[in-house]
Amino acid sequence: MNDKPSRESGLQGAPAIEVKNLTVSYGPKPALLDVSFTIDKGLLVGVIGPNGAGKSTLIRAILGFTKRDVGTVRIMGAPAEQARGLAAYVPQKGSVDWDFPVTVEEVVMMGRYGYIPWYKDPGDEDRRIVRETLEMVRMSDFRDRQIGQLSGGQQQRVFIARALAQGSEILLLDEPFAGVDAATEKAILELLERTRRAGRTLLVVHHDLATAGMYFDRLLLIKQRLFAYGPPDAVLREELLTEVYEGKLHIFSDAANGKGAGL
Amino acid sequence: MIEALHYEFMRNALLAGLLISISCGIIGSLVVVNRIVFISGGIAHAAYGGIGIAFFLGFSPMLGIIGFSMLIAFVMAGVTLENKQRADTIIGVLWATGMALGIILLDLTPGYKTDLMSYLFGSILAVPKSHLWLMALLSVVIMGTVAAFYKDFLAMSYDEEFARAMGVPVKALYFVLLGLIALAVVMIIQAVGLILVIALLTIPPYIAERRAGSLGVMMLISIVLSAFFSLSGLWFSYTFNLTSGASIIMVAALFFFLHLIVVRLRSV
Repeated sequence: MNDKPSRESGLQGAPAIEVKNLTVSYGPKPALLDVSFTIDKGLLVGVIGPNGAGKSTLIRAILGFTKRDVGTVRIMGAPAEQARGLAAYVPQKGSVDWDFPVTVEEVVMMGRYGYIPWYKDPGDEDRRIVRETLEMVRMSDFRDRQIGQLSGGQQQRVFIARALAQGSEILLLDEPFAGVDAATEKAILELLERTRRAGRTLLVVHHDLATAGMYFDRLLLIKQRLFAYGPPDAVLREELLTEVYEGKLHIFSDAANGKGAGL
Repeated sequence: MIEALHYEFMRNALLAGLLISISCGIIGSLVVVNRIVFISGGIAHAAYGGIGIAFFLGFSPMLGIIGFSMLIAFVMAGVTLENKQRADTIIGVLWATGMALGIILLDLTPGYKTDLMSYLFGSILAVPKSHLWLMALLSVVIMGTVAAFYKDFLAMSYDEEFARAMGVPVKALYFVLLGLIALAVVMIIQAVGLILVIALLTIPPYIAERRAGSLGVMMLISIVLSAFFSLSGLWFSYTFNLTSGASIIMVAALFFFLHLIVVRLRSV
């Protein structure tokens, strides 16, 4: 395969993600309009914004799953097209077929497929990486389970492991906290923080403003356009959120204090 | 049943049933997890056009079915990749057009067409030895291809977008898969006829999926189930003098509904 992911394609010292003038549209309606930002390495970044703001589209555009109308995306200094393996996608829970007959280990091994030619089977090196990755996300005991037989938190861990096995420097997660209980949410957050400590950069779509300020190093507030990018204090400002959420924000004062129950 | 084995046609039928089960289990599993049952039905029915062409031009109907169903399979693969939103409509049109072409060409062919019914409803009890060799060859092609590309098929079936990002040639693989479906359809038509192909292709994998932790296991269980349905269908057919294809499908359907009821009762 000629588009094999390679670490070497990234430049040393380059930012993790660099998006310039990104515009994406589905038909006549722009989903993203002239979005530009730069994310440094080793940050845990939350993407917030109301429903239909283009949060998922942003992630898909960075991954190259969605066609860009205008703009450039650079991953670790290299054009996104050449750096595909460097950025990995952790899908939204609802978009995965959980009944599919596939085991935990097989899903994580799929992260290695970019390194294995079509005529070859996974080798010792691939198996070692998968084993280590499963250990890191504490899923070794579940390696032979069919993925539908896992709890919500375990399912997230499998897909984070797949991204790590891929050797990715950047993980893009689409609502990892959607539909999980409080204990699972805490466990997933811990795993995200551990992944960041291991030097990875994470971009996480998040819908709960109440927790956004506590969970992330930086927040990216979008609604088609980029409204703010920076530390939570600078982004979670009332006048900014009122403008973006247009009155759909009822419990802002609680949310800003981190006590709210969400929107 | 044992005394029936003295007849060559019965031995051939059993062997055909087993060969068909192998292809059925492997390809049926891929059909079910890729949700392309409708396309498979389309390929099976459009195959009738191949029979029409073969009779009209006077060559082997088997050759006609193989050639034409492969052609239709590739057209359908192209259509589904190009026009995802309305692919089902176009598949439906190809489905009917293929059949209509077959019927018209057979109308235009003079002479008595004795074995047409066998293509529609199957004739596993009349499978000649030469077809067994062809079936064995097709089984080897199907097994070999799926074994060679197993990990790629798994990746594509499970998460097409991710597979593409990993450099799996998803488009090419999709054409290969539909081509293999055409080959499997050619075999299954022998057993149950083109009208009933979908049932034998999908019932065993559907039941197997609930019991399988991985795609490979799903294929194995499907093969065993297909063989069981084919052989017990044959027994019913022999013992009660019933049409063999329909008997096989009725056995499979019986287990399908039993399975549904058991699953439902367990979840209550």
